[in-house]
Amino acid sequence: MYSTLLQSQSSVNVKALWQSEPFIVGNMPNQNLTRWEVLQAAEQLSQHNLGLSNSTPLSATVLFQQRHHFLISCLAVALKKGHTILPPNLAQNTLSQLNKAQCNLWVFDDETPQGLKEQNQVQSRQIDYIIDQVKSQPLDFDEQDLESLFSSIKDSEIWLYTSGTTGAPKKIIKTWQNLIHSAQIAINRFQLMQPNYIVATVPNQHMFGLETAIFWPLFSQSSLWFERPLFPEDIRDALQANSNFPALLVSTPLHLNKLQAFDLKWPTHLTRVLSATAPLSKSLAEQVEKQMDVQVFEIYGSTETASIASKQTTVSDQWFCYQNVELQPQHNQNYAVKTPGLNQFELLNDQIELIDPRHFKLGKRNSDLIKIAGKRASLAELNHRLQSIEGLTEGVFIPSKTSERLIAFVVSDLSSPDIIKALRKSIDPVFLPRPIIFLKTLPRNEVGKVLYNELQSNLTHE
Amino acid sequence: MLTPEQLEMANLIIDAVNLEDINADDIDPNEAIFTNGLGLDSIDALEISLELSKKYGVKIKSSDENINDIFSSIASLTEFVQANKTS
Repeated sequence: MYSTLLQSQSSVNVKALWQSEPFIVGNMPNQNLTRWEVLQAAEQLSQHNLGLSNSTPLSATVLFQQRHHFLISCLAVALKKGHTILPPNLAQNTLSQLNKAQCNLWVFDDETPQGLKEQNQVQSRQIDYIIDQVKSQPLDFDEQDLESLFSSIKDSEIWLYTSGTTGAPKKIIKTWQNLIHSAQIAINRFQLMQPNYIVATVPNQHMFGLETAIFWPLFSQSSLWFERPLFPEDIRDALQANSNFPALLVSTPLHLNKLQAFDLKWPTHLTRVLSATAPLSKSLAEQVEKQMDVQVFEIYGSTETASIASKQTTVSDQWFCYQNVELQPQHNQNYAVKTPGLNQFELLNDQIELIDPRHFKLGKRNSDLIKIAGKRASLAELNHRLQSIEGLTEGVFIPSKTSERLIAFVVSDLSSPDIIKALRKSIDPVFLPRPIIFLKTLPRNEVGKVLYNELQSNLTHE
Repeated sequence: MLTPEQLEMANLIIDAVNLEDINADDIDPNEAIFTNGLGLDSIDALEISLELSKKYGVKIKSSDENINDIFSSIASLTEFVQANKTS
């Protein structure tokens, strides 16, 4: 499976790519890792740290932020025939529900988050110890070893979650094979079988980060910065850590918007920026292209489908599908999509206008999805959480028109900090309201529907 | 009770991250501002660091030693900025 993937794309020397070419770029040259070292560390972790028996299926929630810790953990879980669970958020209730549902749950994190107690746990220092061992005793291998290793994990699952239209998080199951095949069409699109360097600000635990910072680099010729940088100076340092190859920055509109506000000189080997998780305005794309002297590409995809298309926002409003992406019309401008990474056709979350078999324009969103900082939630779900707070008579969230955050309108005697404290237990902090506005009643029409326009005008009058 | 520098920092944060319902005088300068306390997150940290760079010429990196300590409270952030400001 793996070697055919490589051979189909390029005449690279597979063994050299895995054994000696740079992969994980660390703070110091002696912290760099090759692909083969990552695999060996995963095998060691799987054999020695994840329990003895294969009798109870292992499930693992992997919360590491650093790329190599995350990747080694996921590989080790897959080698143990277990599945990796990437929870939709780290709220206490989410994690305790997960804990109840899984009988052999392991946590891969340096802390034990609230809601998870008494689990088997793997910490990053254990992985660092294994990495040191692997580096001091390098093993040889051949392509057949890679082939059999990836054959053995191809059906292992990674579970991701998305906010379904009904409001409850929906589980999306991907196999390693699905994700590798999805990566293949993206690698092809962005020519990542040429040496290049990726710095990503997005988390491993959501689809866009899982693709761009884990699966694309592992199965291409990309090298990868080991951390998820936040501040502009961190991002610049990360880029400068490897100036041998053209660099690609993977981020979100929210982050890019903040970055371009800083007056910073960006390294010249940064040539491309990829953005996803929310629409990127043409003006922001123009600013980023000018300031960083790059081409900015938006990626279109979803947790269900992985990424399937891209566009250079300053040049076109048409999305260009990756190769082997097939769009099939349903009713009402709805389309289903099939790619090499999908087992069957998946319905798109957006309505689209098909221009030709590989180009489309976006229509309106089918659901009530809210995206902030790369995280998704449904408004219905958030409203449900808000309304479940004891002592809160009624309340709704609306997206702010002046910032990326949400505003909550509530009817309650509770204080603002009380409401925040209660919400913090059930929703991801990025969705916490800024601010909370207290009303005597929510404006409703005669059939009881909340009048969102009146709430909006409430804001403009302030 | 906040010092004048701490009050200035509290107001900068409130403006930077839209905490309209919080009064600077009510903030405990030693209370954690992230996760609990004011409940800020990493995007807020970015926003705050932008304001600090504009107003004081202070550049903040995650690789700075004790970055978590620096961002732990209004008091520690104020101390860091006063020690490192260039404008």
